[in-house]
Parts: sequence; C-alpha cells; structure tokens
Amino acid sequence: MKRTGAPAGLPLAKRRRQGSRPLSPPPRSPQTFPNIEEVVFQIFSYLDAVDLCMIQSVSIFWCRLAADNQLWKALFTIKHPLNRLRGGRSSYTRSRSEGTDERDIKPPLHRAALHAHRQDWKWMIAWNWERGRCSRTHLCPSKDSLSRTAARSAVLAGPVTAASADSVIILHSPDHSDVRQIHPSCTTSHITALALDQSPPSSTDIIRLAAFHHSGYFAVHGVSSVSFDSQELYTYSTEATDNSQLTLRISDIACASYHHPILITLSSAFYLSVYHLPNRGENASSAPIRPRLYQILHSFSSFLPSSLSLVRPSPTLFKLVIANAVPVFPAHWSAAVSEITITLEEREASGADSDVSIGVATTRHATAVGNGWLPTHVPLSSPPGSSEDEAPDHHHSVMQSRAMEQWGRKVGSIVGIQTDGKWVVLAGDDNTLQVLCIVFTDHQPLRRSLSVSSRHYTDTRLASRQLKVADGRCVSVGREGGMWIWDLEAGWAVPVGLPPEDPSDFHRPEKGRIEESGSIPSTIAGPSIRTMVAFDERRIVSSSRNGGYLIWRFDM
Amino acid sequence: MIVSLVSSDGKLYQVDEAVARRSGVIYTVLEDIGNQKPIPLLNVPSHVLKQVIEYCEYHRTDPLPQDAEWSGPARAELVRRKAVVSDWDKKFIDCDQTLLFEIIQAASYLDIKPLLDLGCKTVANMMTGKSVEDIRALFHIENDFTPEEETAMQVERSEFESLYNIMIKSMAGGVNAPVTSLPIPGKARRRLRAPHY
Repeated sequence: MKRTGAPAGLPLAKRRRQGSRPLSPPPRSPQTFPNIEEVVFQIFSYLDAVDLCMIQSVSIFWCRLAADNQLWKALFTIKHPLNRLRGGRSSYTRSRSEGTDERDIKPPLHRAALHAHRQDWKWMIAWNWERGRCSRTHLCPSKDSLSRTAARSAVLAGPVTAASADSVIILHSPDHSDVRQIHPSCTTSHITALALDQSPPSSTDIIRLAAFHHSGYFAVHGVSSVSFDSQELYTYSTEATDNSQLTLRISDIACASYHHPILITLSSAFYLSVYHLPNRGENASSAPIRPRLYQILHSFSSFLPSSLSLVRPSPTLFKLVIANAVPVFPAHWSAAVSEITITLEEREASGADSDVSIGVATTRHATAVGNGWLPTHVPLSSPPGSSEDEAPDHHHSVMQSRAMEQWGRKVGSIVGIQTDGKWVVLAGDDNTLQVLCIVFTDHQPLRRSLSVSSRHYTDTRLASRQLKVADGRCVSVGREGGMWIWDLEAGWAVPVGLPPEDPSDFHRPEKGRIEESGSIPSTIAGPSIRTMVAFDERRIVSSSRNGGYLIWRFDM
Repeated sequence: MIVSLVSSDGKLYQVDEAVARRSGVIYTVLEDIGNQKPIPLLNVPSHVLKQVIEYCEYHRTDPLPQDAEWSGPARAELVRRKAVVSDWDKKFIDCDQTLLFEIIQAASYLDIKPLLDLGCKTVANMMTGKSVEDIRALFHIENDFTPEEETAMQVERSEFESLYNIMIKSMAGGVNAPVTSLPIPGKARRRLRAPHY
C-alpha cells in the first residue's frame, strides 16, 4: 500500500520542549501553535460551527483558515446527510432534480446541487429551524377583503403564498404586501383543496396550481411567480347530473396531489381519480384544456383524514402513497398506508396529440395496527433446546409484542394524518402524536412488503389541531395556538410560538387570537373547524380564526 | 526485522519493522529503498521520536488507516468526529503543550494518521468553548490584526457573544424549553454567517 508522504515544504520542526525532562536542553520561548496549514485544518475540522465562527477573530492566519469552504462543507454534510427523502408536498422548489432511485432521494437542498461549484457552504448551515428561532407576524384581513372566512387550505410555491378563501385563490407576495386574487371563471362554490405541481419547474417560472371546488369543478391555474399573472391552463367541469357516484367522486375533494402530467384527487367519499393533463401546445394563450380521466379507485374501508404523496421516481413511473384513517373495531381508529403505482407511457401518435397509456395498480398496503392472525404461544410439544425452534419462537414473540404495542396505540378519534411518502404522522385526540415510518422491503418477498414502525409521543401541549408533513419535517399546530416543529429524520422537536417567558423581547400576538383558539372544543376536530397550515423551507403559514394569516419566518 | 531510525539530534533508535511501518513516510522509504541503512528523520528530535515510537509500539497491531479525505462522506466524517479516545491514548496525549505540538508536527511529518487525529482532537478540545483572548493566551498567538480590524472585530464579537449565549441557552433547554422569537442584532446575524431557513 503506497501512502502519501509528508507534504513538500515542511519547515524543520527543530523546536525543543521546555520542562523537567532530563533530556531537555535549556528552556526557550514557548512552543508556538503549529503553523502548518494542513495541521491547523485538521484541528479545526474537529470544531463545530460556533467555535469556527469564534476563532476567526484570533489571528489573520486563523481567520483565513477557519473560513475555509471545505471545513464548512464537511459541517454541512454532517448536518444535512444525503439520505433524506425529498418527496415533500408543500414546496415546488424541492422537486428540481429528477431522481432515478425508487425513493426519489434528492440532494440536501436544491441550491447545493445547482451551485455546488461555487457554493459558500457556511451560508448553508441553519440553526433556525431546530432552535425554533423565528419571527412571527400576524396579517389581519383587510376590511374589504373577501376572505372573511378562514382560509381552508394553502400552499407555498417558492416566493408565493397561495391560500383559498371561499371560491377565490388569494396570492400573496413574499412579504405579503401585494395581494392578488384569482377568480374562477364559472363557479361560485367554495374551494375545498389546493394542490401544487411538484414537477421540476419549467424555465418560464410558471407555477401550476390546481384548485378544487366543492361543486366538482376544478381548474389548474398557471401563475407567474414574478408578475402574479394567472391563466387557466386546464379546467374540468361536469354538467349537473343525478348520478350519485359521479357526485361522490368529484365533489368535496379532500386532498389532491399533482405532479405534472398526473393529477390525483381524493374525494371525501374516498373515490380516487387519476387524471392526465396533456401538454399544452406552443400557443400559450389558447383556451383551457380538459384533463382526461383515466382511472377511478374506490375504498369502502378508508376514511378521512387522509393525505397523499406523489413522487416520480422515473420518467415513466409515479408512486402515490395514501395515508388514511381506518377503523379498528369496535370504536377506535388507526392509520393505514397504501401505495399505488402509476405507469405512464407516451407514444407519438399520428396526430398532434401523443397517445398516452396509463396503468394504475395498487401495490402494497399496511396498517399501523396489525390485523390477521398472530401466533400467541408456542406449545411445549416441541422438545426444548432444539435450535431450529428457538429462532421462530423468538420471532413470534417479537411480532406479538410489537402487535400488542401497536394495538395499544389505536385512538378514539384522529385529528390529522399526514404523510410525505416516507413518514406518516398521526395526531390523536388523546394528545399523542404517532410517528410511523413506512418501510419498503422489496427484496424480501416472503415478508410483508410494506410495514410500519412507530414512535410515540405524549404531551398535553401536543394536542393538535392541524398537521403538515413534508420532506421529513412535521409542523403541528396545538390547541393553545402553539406550534411544534418535528424533524422526523433527526428526531428533534422544538416548540415555536408559545407564549414567551419574557414578554418584552417578544412581539405579542393579537389578544383575540389566543382567546379564540383557546375556545376550540377538545372533541374531534373535523373538517368543520379545519384550519390550515403550510410550510416550506423558509416559513410556516397558518390561518388565524378571523381570516388573517400567521407567518413564522425562519430566514432571518 | 529491526529498523534503525535517527532523530534530528543524532540519536539512534531501533524498532521493529511492524512498528516503524505505522508511519507512512517510513513505510514508503522501506518499500522504495529497503532496510539497509538507518533512516534519518531530520524533523523529529529525539524526545519526540521516543514518544512517537511509544505510541506506535502500543498501536502496532491496529489496522492501518485507509486513505481517505478528511472531508469524506458525512457518515465517515461523523464517525471520525465522534470516535472515542481510548484511556491509554488519553494518558499518552496528556502532556505539556509544547510536547503536544511537537508530537502533532512529528505525526504530520511522519504521516501517522491516528496519532495526528488524536493530537488534533486534543487541541480542538482545548479550544472548544473558549473565548478569543483565552485561546490567544493558551497558545501564545499574537494578535496580528490592525487596530481598525480589531475594533471592528470587537464590536462584532460582543454581539456575537451575546448571540452565542442565547444559542447555548436554547440548546440546553432541549425539547421542553419553549424558545420563541429571539431578537438578533443585525451585525451578529451577519457575523454568525447565518444561514437561512
């Protein structure tokens, strides 16, 4: 093994030590700190970010070395390892790179990948999220605003915040100073859900935003993130019929997921519709196109709340993860996860439109509370000590204890379920938050192909009104108006927005808000008192009761 | 097989080949030239060489470290940072500062990576959590900033230190301590080089 030798130009280190050793020559001036860059780097590489900042003011030499990009890059890679799942739903900026892996793993932050060659790593390390350090502002609705009712859903699309209020989408500029409204062209029923296109943005910087109205009408708006100009790209409407199945399918969309060109809607009656949105031609000003419906799926045993996560691991493959509530006999609830694979094949047809074939297959399913038969006790008929029997015995007891543990975690009612494709977070009415990790075991066909492992948190302050999970991070709004941020990968949690100990250094929120949110009934939080919360990597936006917004900013 | 090493002040040390090969430099020399003549180590005085040989004797059976960039993958980097220092190593490296620095320089010169890591880690531990003046006094480092730079640094540092205290406070609180919107002075924010989101 050939190893690298000492670097050239090493100065002679003929320094003699002082001290009491017999070999010691006469004492001399104290040994100075090593001045070899390589050695100093090595020392600095053990320091954390705070110390590195600190020692920059020791001397010019140290200042230069401690600001070295490689040191900060190493710190960054420790803090943001590559193994996070980037299937987030709340920010379109997360989906810039096309992963080839099945699980759609993306680089830590898209900017790191885009500007890797000139990235100054020390700007990338962030503490604000995990310290809960943020600024909080409350936007009161203006008097003439249409949005007298609280926003029901919102998405953060890069700089733009889009929230729904009645039948209108309200767009906010980054500093919330400029407010625009998008009016639907042909309906007045209220918006039940919003979905943001997760596909990598095109160069034109158009955000695609789908709004679903209660009547069954939905429209995909193309919104310019610069000028806020909007245009209806796709619209879908049906004439009123008495067909109850159609009504159940298209009305009251509970959640939707959009990754161009696939749009998936889930109605509150649990009809899942898969639409294909054909690419629009070059003439951008043409009339809206009607999406094509390809598949309808229905579940009789799944219930709200529910959450969708759609990722595109390869150009021809979409994977949809649905987390929903399932009843546990006789009067309890738990979470279940289903995975649906959608294959998309575009063939160039003779005409202008390319022919698209879409295949939909439900692939895997798992529940947090196990069902089916479990071996409870191995009878003593087998001779003890035979080594073949011990392993399955142990396996069974582990399975059984796990099943018992998860059985004990069923809840009386579910406040919210959210998933980002890897994690499922379940908020129960008993002040618990259950974190479930979806484990895909493709390579072990004999075992259950999709299983769920869980962590469990109980705290009265966790009592949640609303949950949002994206990208391994969870934001839960508590009943008292406090907010918790969970990093599901790293395992930390931090509260933000709780009343501070020292009010002087804190911008007090409006008085009425606290009182209002304190009056929220502690029973099941159904859709009737739904608040909204949305976040991306810079901020959290949640609705306040009087139609305003609360904004927590972390990019201070 | 015995290898002869000559320190910078002319003392001859005879060590086992397995011990000597822990040094990347000596390894290369043995591969290239062979073991006919004593190997002169011009940069290592005898009292340091004695310590280094003691370390290599103790660690003679350890696997040789693989060549790896110190800013390697995150996991390797984390392992390197969190590696536990054995009791013997702790006792070995617990010497006066002058000797410590000499050992580090010798380890760097002789390319003995574990010893270099050990020394650097020790020095880094000495620096952690200390103020700038403490560090200067500890390592006898001259302040070579100009007065103008110094005053600018001073202002930034006082702000930074207040921020630093805040950060310590919020870190120690853990999950149960509510941390709310903390005021951060503009300059300190810049000083921290801080990071968005």
